[in-house]
Parts: sequence; C-alpha cells; structure tokens
Amino acid sequence: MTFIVLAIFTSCGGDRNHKHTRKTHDDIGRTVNIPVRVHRIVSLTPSITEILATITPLEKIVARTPHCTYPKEILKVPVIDVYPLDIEKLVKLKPDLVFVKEGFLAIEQANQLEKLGIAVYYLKFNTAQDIIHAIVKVGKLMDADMQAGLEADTLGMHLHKLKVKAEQIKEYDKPEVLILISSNPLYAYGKDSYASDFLYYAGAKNAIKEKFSNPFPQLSREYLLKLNPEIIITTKQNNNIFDLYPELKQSKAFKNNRIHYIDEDLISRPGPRVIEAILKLKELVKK
Amino acid sequence: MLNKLLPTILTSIIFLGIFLGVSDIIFVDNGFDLIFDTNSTTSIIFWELRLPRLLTAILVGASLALAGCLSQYLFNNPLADPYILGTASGASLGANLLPLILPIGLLSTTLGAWLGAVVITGITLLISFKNKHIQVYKLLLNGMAMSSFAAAVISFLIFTTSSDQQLRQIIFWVIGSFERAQWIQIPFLAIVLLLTLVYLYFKHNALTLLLIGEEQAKVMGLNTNVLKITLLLFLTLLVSFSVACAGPIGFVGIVIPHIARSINSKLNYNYYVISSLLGACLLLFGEIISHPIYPPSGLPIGVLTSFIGVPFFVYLINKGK
Repeated sequence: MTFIVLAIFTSCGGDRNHKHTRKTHDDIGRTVNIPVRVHRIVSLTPSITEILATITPLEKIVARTPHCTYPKEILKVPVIDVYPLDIEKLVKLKPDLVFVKEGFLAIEQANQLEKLGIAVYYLKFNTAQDIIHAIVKVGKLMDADMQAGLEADTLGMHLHKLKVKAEQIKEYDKPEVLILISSNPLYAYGKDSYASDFLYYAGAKNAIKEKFSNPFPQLSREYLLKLNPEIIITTKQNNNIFDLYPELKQSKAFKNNRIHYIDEDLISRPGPRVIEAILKLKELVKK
Repeated sequence: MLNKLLPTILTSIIFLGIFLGVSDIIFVDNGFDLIFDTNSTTSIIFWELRLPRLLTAILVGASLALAGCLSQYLFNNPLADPYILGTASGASLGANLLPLILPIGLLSTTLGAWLGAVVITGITLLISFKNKHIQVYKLLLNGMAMSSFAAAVISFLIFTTSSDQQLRQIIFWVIGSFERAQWIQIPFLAIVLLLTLVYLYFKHNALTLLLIGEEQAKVMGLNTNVLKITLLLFLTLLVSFSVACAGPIGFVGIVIPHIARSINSKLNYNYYVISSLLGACLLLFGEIISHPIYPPSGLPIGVLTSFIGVPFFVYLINKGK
C-alpha cells in the first residue's frame, strides 16, 4: 500500500525540483532535458498552440500568446506576453516544457529559461509534410502518441489525395498566384515559404519564382508590376492595395477580377488546419 | 577653376544618373518604343514609378544637403543636422498617426508626415521665442526635447501595436525610402528648393556675416532676427517636404555640407549649389544601386548612403585640410 501511494506521488511530480528527465534534441539541434511526464506546457507560437490543442487536453496548456486564438476554447487559457517575453510570469507558471517555433524566440532567452529550470523545445516546420512530422513529434513528447498518430494519419491521407489531383494538372495549366502578406509596405510569401508548398497541393504555383534571402520578401512596386500575377490572394485588411498602388490596375489579376481574400489566421499559421488552408486556396484558385 | 566648373560637372553627372537609372528599360527589346505605348507595363514603370523615384531622390538629396548647410549656419555648429528641430521625429509621428484617422492611400502618409514635421517644428520655434527674439541655444534644446517626445510616442506605438502590418509600416517609414514617390510631390519639392536657392543667392553674404558672429553681424547693420526666422522657415519647408516624400533619411544633411566645404573652401554661393548637387548625386546613385544590391525591395536608402558616404567623409575629414 505504502509503495502504491509513493508511486502515485512520484508520478504526479509532486516535487518539481527533482523531475525525472530525459535527454533529447530539438529541431535546431539543441540538447534539451525534458521531464519524463509533461504536465504543464506553454506554447509561444500560435501554430504550435493549434497542434497542442488538437492532441492534448487544454488543461495541460498553462499559457498562450495573445495571438493564439484558435480553437475558441483556448481563449480561456491565460495569456503571456511574448514581445518582450514576460519571463517572470513564465517562471511563476512553472511549466515543464515550453514549445516554440524556430525564429520566434532568441536562443539566449531559451538558454536563460533553461538555467531557470524550464525546458525549451524548438520546432522547425515549413512544408505540409513537416507539419505532420511536427504533430507526431509533439505527440511523443506529450505522451499523446495515439492522438497525434491519428491526426497525422488523417492529414497525411488528405494530403496524399490532394497531391494525386495536383499531379494531374500540367505545369503550364497551373495559375501563377501571389499571396500578399501586407500591402503597405509590400510583403509576400516567397518561393521558399510554406505557401509555395500549399499552392502546389492546391494545383497552382507561386508567382514569385526567384529565391530571396528572406522567405517572406519585401517587394517593390516595380517588381510587383513586372510579376503580373494571374491571381492575387490576400487578407481583407489589404483591400486597399489598388488605392495605394493604382498602377496595379494594369495587372492580369485586376483585369480578370482575380483578387481573392483569405482568413489571415488560416494562411499565416501553418498548423493542423493545413488541409483547410489548402482547400480554401484551391477553392479561390478555381473561382 | 575647378570650383566654377564643378556645378556643371555635377549637373552632367545627375543627367547621366537619370539615364543610367532608366537604361535597363530603354535597352530591352523595343523598350524605347514601349515607353510611349501608354498601355504597356514598361510605360507605367517608366513614367509612373521609375522617373518619379529618380526625380524625388535628386530633389530630396539636394534639399537635405541644403538644409544641412542652413542648420550649420544657424546654429554655428558643424554637428547641427537638418533634423535638429524635431522635424524628422515629428514627420515619423505624423506619417504613422494620420493614416489611422484619414486612410486615403499613400498620400495620407505623406500629408501626415508633412503635418507632423510642421507641427513639431512649429512648437519648437514657438517655445524658443522670447521677447520677439529666437534664442539659438533654446532652439537647440527645445528641438531635442520635442524630438525625444515624438520618438517616445513612436516607440510607444511600436510597443503597443497588435498588428504585424502596422509594425512593418512604422519601421519601413522610419528607415526612409523612395517607394512612395509620386508626381504630385515633385512640384512641392522643386519649388521649395528653388525658392531657397534664390533666397540664398541674394542673402549669402549676410549668412557669412552671421557665421562670423551674431554681435558682429548686428554691428554691421544686419537684422539677425529676421534672417534667422527666414532661415528657419526655409529649413522647415525643405526638411518637412523631403521627409514627407521619402522618410527621415539620415547622413546626407550633416555630411554633404562638410564634403562641399572641403571641395569649395570659400563660403560663397557656389558652396550652396555644390552642396545641393552633391546631395542630389548621392541619393540618386544610392537609389539606382539599391535595387540590384538587395532585390526585390532594394536596400533602405539611408543605410546605403551611409555605407557609401561615411568612408569618403572620414577620408576628407582626416586628409588634413
């Protein structure tokens, strides 16, 4: 009996200063000591919050960023400021593990958190396939292999179907699409961004064909006019683009009335809603 | 002899620069013909984007350099830059605030920047008046205070903004660029520049007296108060229009007058002309090379001009003249 009580106490992690940990490597090659049982997690990236919400009970997520707004139930989770990161609040929350996407947190800050006893795990995902791998990986770390595997299989199946259909479209039949992030200043999803991969599954191609140092390059008005995309997809807040740059009325997209709008969260957060995002792009491209 | 020829040489360089800036359009297949075909993309790029950008670069470069000369005279200080009255911070603030209240496209940013520049400079001037006289040291300190205040409001906007787009907009504006160049801005820039040059043509001797010392100038019968107010008015107009059209581009206003002085040591009218032409050349060539260096947006012009100009400036300062 005493043994059972002791075992329960140990497994619940009553003394968090003496957590049993395991060594692992995150996606950017850092060695991370992660507790064997992860009970309290913080996500510093909206797309990872969506992954976590899909495969683990929400009670395990102890904080989210102000930008983590999906699914609706997540809004009940306390918010933590990320720009700048509220380290004091984060320490008070005593998370077992902090998830963050590469580029969303400086390595120095992650090291600082590690010194304070908080494990930080960087995830790196870009393509639709990467997202599926990330779901599996998070599932393993969270002891939610089953749920994560199920989610990954479903997404993988849908993705395969989309790929088969996309491959049937001849290269020259695929419309050139520009997905605009912001109108003032002009920023777009570049060739190396995940949006190019999404467009491939949607049966289209990115109008930006050159690789630039930034996967989300800033464009000049002249470059955009020369690009002359067949379709422009952007978010509602950028509907002023033709007022700002009247010369774009010469573009094929404007002349053929092919300016379409997409939900910002859907396109800007490459997470478990990847299929939803691709299907929306496919619908807009087909219009 | 060289000094007298220099304005002609620099003007020729500017024309060469304009030609270089559009040469890629002219020398492509049928490029020259397409410029005059109003339905072609080439024509729109040439007339609506490229030319206004190059002309804005020339006029802003000349205006900022000239404004630099004026502020160095006015404050009798080689470190005085044209933004010393809070003009640049005021413009940045206005450019970011007005589009929120009056969203009328790119023009609202330009208008906001101009209003911000004029309001902040106006406040600086008003609070520096005492007994119908402008006290230069007060002007300097009040300018710094107003500038810090406007910069603090911008920092607050950056910190509290929830939208990535707004954040990018603020940063983009603070860096400075010719992407917003439009034909409508060019007459304003040109008229202010021309009026200042005409004024200086008639008043450059009085300015030289002011540089020797205010008391001596008064003894010589110069109404220094009127001169200072007129200079401040031209300084405000030059800087506010420049900043409204291209954002707060640094370096040009403080460094070009020194370069001009090292070439043309006499403080005559030629000095102003050479300063303006050098400023125009620097921003024009900066604009031309910024796009191939960092495609597709181009490197921010303020960053690029500093990269080009600082080594040259350091060389001139230290060569012993």
